[in-house]
Amino acid sequence: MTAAADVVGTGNATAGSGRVSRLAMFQPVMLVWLVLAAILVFLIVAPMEELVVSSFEQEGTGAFTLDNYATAYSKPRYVQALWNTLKMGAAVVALALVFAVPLAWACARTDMPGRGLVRLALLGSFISPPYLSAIGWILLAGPNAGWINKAWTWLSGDPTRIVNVFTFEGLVFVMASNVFFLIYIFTYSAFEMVNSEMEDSANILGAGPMRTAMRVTFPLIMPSILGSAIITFLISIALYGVPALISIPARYPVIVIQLSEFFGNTPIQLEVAAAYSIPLLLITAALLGLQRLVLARRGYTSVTGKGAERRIVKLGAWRWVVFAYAMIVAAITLVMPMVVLFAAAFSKIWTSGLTWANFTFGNFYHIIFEHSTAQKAITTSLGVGAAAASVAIVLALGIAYIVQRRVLPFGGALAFLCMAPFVVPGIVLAIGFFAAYAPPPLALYGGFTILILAFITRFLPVAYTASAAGIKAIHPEMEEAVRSLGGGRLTAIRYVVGPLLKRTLFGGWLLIFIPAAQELSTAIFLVGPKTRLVSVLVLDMSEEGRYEHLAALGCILLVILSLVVWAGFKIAGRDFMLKRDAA
Amino acid sequence: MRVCGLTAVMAASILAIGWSSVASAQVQMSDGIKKLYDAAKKEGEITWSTSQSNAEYAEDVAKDFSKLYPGITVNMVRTTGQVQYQRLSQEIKSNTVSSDVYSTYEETHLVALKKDNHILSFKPEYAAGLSDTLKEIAEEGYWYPTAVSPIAIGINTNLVKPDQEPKNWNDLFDPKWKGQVAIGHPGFSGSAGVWVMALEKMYGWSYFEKLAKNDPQIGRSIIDSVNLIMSGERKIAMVPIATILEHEAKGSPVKVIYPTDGTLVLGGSTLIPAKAPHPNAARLFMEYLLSKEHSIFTAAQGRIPLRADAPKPSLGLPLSAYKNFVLPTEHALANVNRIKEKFRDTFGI
Repeated sequence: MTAAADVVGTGNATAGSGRVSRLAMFQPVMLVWLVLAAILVFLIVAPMEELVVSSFEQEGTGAFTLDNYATAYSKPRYVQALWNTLKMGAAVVALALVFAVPLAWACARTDMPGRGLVRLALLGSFISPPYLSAIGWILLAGPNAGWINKAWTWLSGDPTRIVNVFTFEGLVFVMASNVFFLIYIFTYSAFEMVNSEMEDSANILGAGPMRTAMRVTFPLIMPSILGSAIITFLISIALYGVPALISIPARYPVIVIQLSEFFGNTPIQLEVAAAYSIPLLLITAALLGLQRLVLARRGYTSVTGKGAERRIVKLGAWRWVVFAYAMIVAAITLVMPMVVLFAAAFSKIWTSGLTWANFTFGNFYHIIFEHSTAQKAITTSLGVGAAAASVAIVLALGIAYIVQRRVLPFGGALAFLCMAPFVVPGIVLAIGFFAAYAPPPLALYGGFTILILAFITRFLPVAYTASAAGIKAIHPEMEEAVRSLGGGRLTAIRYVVGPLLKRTLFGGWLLIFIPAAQELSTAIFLVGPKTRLVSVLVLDMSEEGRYEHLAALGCILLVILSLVVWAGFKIAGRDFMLKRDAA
Repeated sequence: MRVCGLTAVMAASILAIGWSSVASAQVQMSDGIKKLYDAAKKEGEITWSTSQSNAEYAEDVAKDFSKLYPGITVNMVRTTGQVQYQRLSQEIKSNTVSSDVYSTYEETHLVALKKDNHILSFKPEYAAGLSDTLKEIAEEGYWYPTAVSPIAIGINTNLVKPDQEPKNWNDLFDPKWKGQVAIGHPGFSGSAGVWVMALEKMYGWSYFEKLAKNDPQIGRSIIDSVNLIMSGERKIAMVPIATILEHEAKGSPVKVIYPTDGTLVLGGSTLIPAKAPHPNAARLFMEYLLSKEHSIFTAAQGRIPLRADAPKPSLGLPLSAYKNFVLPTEHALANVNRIKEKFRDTFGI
């Protein structure tokens, strides 16, 4: 058997054994490339092209024009929203780094107590969608009725408010609480991968702990921090739910809100919205370019077939300080908003406090038995999330393998396409999808397909990053060992890469499923009356301010997602999301 | 096309007597309606897109309809007027219309849809039962009035002492309410848009410049304002009377203040999109909304019924009992986009 035949899984190339020419090896392989490229074009290029083209089109006639750009930047307020978004994104990343990096270090490399607790909390903050945590914080830090302000007034007798979620700071805080786990996961993995022998070498050569940290450890994890910081930036500027809930009352206009304004005008200014999102595309593209530059400068493979030792730093009394910090982060990013949300779900009126008279199951009863769409929305969210996650992770792993191992020429182009959706805020991606696939001949609007396709595209970069990291961490020498012993590529994939990647595959699937089941930004313009998702329903309900019902719906979603993750623990082991399995 | 004597209509409808039948599972149907019902049953369902009430009330309406006309389920989708129009426009653009019945307070949307031939032309039998003035809201063959919503001031009675109560719209910018006022955003809510135009017409734009100094909380839907004062997050707000009366009746510490300078009365309409996938069920639902049965249901729910032969609403005052006004359609059409921009410039969002 030849390697080429193994890759494509057809017998054609081996027809006359021993007569396999280079050409015969080349063609089927190109077919794989073409199929993958076609899928990616369908998922990514066509919707994006539709977006860019329409930004130059006159509404109705389709004639070429630059008017859309003139309109999109005709008002200082519109330009202000762009600046505000960048400012918000930068602040979110800064705060997320403050939350995530110390925690990642403490969990990966120190003897801090309660590491399991921290991981559990992080998992929780990953499971809870941003809009639910935003609602939790509205209940906690509403300027007048928020629990914190009321508690303060009750304790001190001072009626002034001490916290207000409806501010720039509130917006940044809620955003950062919801996106920091990504930095944590990447940084944690990087810390795990740093071989202590390298640090030992530095020590032996006379470097102190500080110098070792700055010259060896930190540079080794820097790409992970930078890479995840860029991703976090892009995710936070594209989030729709948190700004819709907080930045409108905070009167801090951001891009997504401005975009929904263009869509909301009579008639819809789709073309203007497209034009408005183009600079965002460029900024993001530039950032991703920067990220590639950073990562491409050196080789960072530090997990090899050889055993590596990772030693734990003994913190002494300091470990309690670090522990306290970790607990504070966990409390403010997860525990507090979620406790409030659950309390509201069991309250008749959420502001009446935790009294027996105020306790009710009525909100759950209403959501499960009375509400006409909630039940269906829950199944839709889970089904669409699972379908999108399955397709995305398989697609991404395949492409990541091809790219990393240079199985095919022009693999870089596939990789680029996989990462490209990052450039597009979810809400803009939705419009591209709508423009490309809602009209005939495909006429996908109103069905599940368009949602699943859009979600695959939306989470392909996450899938690809996870897959590429997983594959990058496996040194080719192990496959080379298989192949030098006579095994083909498929044998290597099946017996070496596959088992090594099992957790990446499953972890990656969950990394997509969880956010896909909660996704709002991409869904907001793609849901039809029969394909409503929990996220869109939550936003619709929040327009009316019925937080008790909304909290009950949110709690049901959270419980289901937690069960899925718990099942994940059972199947793939405790650390499936956080550890890259190296051996 | 419309409306200046809503008050008279409502007063008449409230005075009207002579109804005795109680809605039951079987309705009296004319031959036309019977035929429509048979055709509708074959379609089996409708999707009703509405921004005319809160979701709970709309669900109740949907249930009442399915009770009266078994075999037809209603998929109710409640959002703000803007989001609703956005979704319909998208559906029209992609030729995938999914809404069968469309209820809104946004007249601009009605007019835009008619201009581009996106409305199914239909003359409901029961429209004849509407009083003459309400018929004026209707655009014969295109849309018909299905909701009347007065907009007034709501207060939290635990937080606002009786001698402190606001009396008119100008009290909303009284500095003593700084950080304690809630309003809706005209960019999201059609009702809020009409309210902004009405107040601008009455007091000029300086009204909103003064209001902005009071740092009002701006919600997407005006129903949100009711919840903001119920929760005590804000003390006073511009609110749809129907929702606040409902919560007051359930024991929430809220109350309506009818402003001395006039309560704004909105008339909301319903249409059937041209490419509605279930046109017969949609026609039947439209007939239902205009029927006596529905008006009886409306009144029993404490809302203002549409027909002259309906009973008095079970909650709140009749329109004849307080000063109220409507905003002429022409004014709304000419100004709605301008005030949205102006509002955004003044309030920064």
